[in-house]
Amino acid sequence: MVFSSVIFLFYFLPALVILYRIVPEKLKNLVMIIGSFVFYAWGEIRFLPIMLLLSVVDYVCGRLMEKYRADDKKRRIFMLIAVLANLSVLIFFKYTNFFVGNVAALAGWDHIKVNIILPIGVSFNTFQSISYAIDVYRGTTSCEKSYYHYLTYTTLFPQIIAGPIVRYVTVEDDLDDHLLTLDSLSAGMRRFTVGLAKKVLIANNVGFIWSKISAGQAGEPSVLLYWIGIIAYTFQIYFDFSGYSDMAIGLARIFGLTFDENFNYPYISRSITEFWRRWHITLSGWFRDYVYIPLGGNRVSKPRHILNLLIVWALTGFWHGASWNFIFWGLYFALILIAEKYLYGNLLEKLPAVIQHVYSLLLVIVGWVIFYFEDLGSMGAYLRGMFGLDGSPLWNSQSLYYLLGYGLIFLAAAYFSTPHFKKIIERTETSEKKPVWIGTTAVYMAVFASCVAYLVNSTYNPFLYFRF
Amino acid sequence: MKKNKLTFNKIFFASFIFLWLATAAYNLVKPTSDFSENENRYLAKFPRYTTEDLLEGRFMLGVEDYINDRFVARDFWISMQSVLEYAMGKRESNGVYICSDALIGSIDEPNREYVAGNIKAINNFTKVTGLPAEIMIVPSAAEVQAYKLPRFASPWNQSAEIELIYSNIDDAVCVPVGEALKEHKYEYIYYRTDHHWTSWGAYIAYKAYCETAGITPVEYKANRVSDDFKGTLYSTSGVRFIKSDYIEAYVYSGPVRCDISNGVTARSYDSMYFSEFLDKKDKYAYFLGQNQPAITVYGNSGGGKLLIFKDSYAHCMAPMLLENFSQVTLVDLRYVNRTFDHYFDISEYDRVLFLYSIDSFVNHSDITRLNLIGTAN
Repeated sequence: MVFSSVIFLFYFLPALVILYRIVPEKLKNLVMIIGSFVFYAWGEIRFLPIMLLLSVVDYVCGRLMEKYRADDKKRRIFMLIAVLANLSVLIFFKYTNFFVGNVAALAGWDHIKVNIILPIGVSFNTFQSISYAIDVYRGTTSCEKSYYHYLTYTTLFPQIIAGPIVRYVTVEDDLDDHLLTLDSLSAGMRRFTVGLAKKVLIANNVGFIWSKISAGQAGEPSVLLYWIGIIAYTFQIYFDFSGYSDMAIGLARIFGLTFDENFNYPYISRSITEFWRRWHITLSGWFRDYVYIPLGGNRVSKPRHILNLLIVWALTGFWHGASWNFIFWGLYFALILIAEKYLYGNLLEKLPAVIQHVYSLLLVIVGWVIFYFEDLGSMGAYLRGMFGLDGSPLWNSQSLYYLLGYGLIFLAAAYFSTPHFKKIIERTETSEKKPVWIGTTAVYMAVFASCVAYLVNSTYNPFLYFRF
Repeated sequence: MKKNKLTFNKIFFASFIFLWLATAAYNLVKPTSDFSENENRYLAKFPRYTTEDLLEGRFMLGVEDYINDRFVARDFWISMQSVLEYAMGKRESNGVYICSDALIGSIDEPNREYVAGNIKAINNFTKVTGLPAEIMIVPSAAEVQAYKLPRFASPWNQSAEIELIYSNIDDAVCVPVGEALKEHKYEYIYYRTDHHWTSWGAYIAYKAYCETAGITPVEYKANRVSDDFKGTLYSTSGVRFIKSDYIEAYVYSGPVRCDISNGVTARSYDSMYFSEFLDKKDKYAYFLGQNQPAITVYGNSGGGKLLIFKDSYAHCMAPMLLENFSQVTLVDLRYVNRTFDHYFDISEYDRVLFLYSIDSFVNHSDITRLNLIGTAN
């Protein structure tokens, strides 16, 4: 099930919220587990048994690590079992097609083809379990004694499909003692509405034009059209993904849980280093803590540090999808990060802010071209088009038509990419004036209703992060 | 916290959450209908359960379709969405251009394979039968009334396409209907909310046809039969703020018989206007009813017998042609799946007309069923 659907908003969620509130504290996690199963099975029923099996492995290994607290060797073995179990599930479902395909292509075995379907959310789910195993191993958290609680944690429906990657420590206390108040329900619903609007009103809208332009179905190309297309995609991927995170955080709030933030206005960054501190924070945090730092981080020689960065970013890219372009996308950012660190980082800081913003956005936008096109030929063609190297005119009437049709949405998207609006929201949350309360409530209702209008007539409602 | 103190969250809860849950509850209990008049389609039914469908996820998709289709006040939400889209500057909705006073369908770019096949089938047909033939490919409003389109909208060039098709037609004589319509482009020749032409538009084409075929056209006389026509573009676009259309019908005053054949049985009527459709959504069906494989109308004006291969554009022109022909048979090849002798006797006819809107000609391959001519050769 996806959050941005009528069935979720008007059937699943109300039923679960009401049930969750009326059952006694002890049964709340059970309601949550059942709800999460239904939610997940709705879109991916066949993977459910494997997920359950993994949760048993995670749980048992956690308990055993606790039991052999004094025996480093045994603890390490159980940590490795849990990590490898999760990794092999991830690799099997996500990367088999890729590896077999590449080997077959190299060896010239045309007849060999495999087609394993990637289960929804497996990338997030396995990463989350790995973080649990390593955290217990390191002693940063104690293990969960109750399988009932662990299962609640690992199947939590708000994050099960597209994150954020929630570490066990984040929700550990909430699982025992659900803090459910009218305030948390209201605040959660507001946060959810913000995310829903980002997804439905902005991401889907700009995504529609990108799907036409990227498929070459938007008439005669022009430089302007290429830029309209990639800017649309730039906004789509941010509003889709951060909208999803907002919805997850809001839902967690409704059910008395607190998730970490996942995005912090990445498009206002002044460098790529800053961008990656603001984009998909739970993922970069995961790679930092479980890959980069174990490799030695930056406390090593300069060549080794550069190698560490290349490894981490190639893996980060590869996590986003089993295709070469994602690896290139990761390495592309690795090179920029290395250059910012060792070549021109200091110089960049001294430049006017405008130039820093343009520099960062331009590199991010080019990055999205690499990210989108799996086929290197189309990727190159699109990049050439953007910079007028394919002989297209600067603009034509088709591109002006789309500019008129999407200009306002672009402006709105640009505005909502800055933290300005968040400040307004914070002011309404703390205001003491009744008219502000009533007005704000009315605005949320109107925004929610607008989303419903789009969803009821949903001909175009893709979900980008399904493949990760 | 004091017990009864009003807070933002209490107000928010009392209104937002209450309305949200109330809508959800109302959805569970409200009665639903199976047919949407506005969208002119049957709404999704609740899926039949099978374990296989459940495991493949098809069952869930079926449930979601069912729920979306029957959501409370569905039509209100659809029109709300179109207003929002319009406010954001979009002038296109679901393949329909939203102009200030009309909706204009955007036609898909021609399918080259279909176009070539259709031309070949027509050339073959005229060669085999040797009947005098005319062909008329009608451009859509997007071409003829391009001045109405949103700023910078630039659909593909239908006139050039029609010219190209005409240049490949061997024996049939091509009617310059696009030029004739363009001379009247500021008039009410296409419906505002439907993809068809009006009776007045059809009359202009009728005159152009007569000129080409060497026939004397009659004067236009029509009466208004409906003031509240909301057509196909109204349905597909979701746009609700365009004025309804009125329907005029050409008045053929003589006695008429109208035979409708589906290839197995034929039914006879004493009128070619079906006024029961004026009370329904699909009011264009007033003309000759809904699409049928073969319809023959008989009048009393004398003249020869005309065979038309056509799409629904021909329906409102048929009464005019009956002024010049004693018998007009309209064949819709989309629904013809047996040899022609099941529907009509081709040797009866004196003349053939191919009358197609641009969309039918360049994006559909049904005209190739002319090869079902079967026994005639």
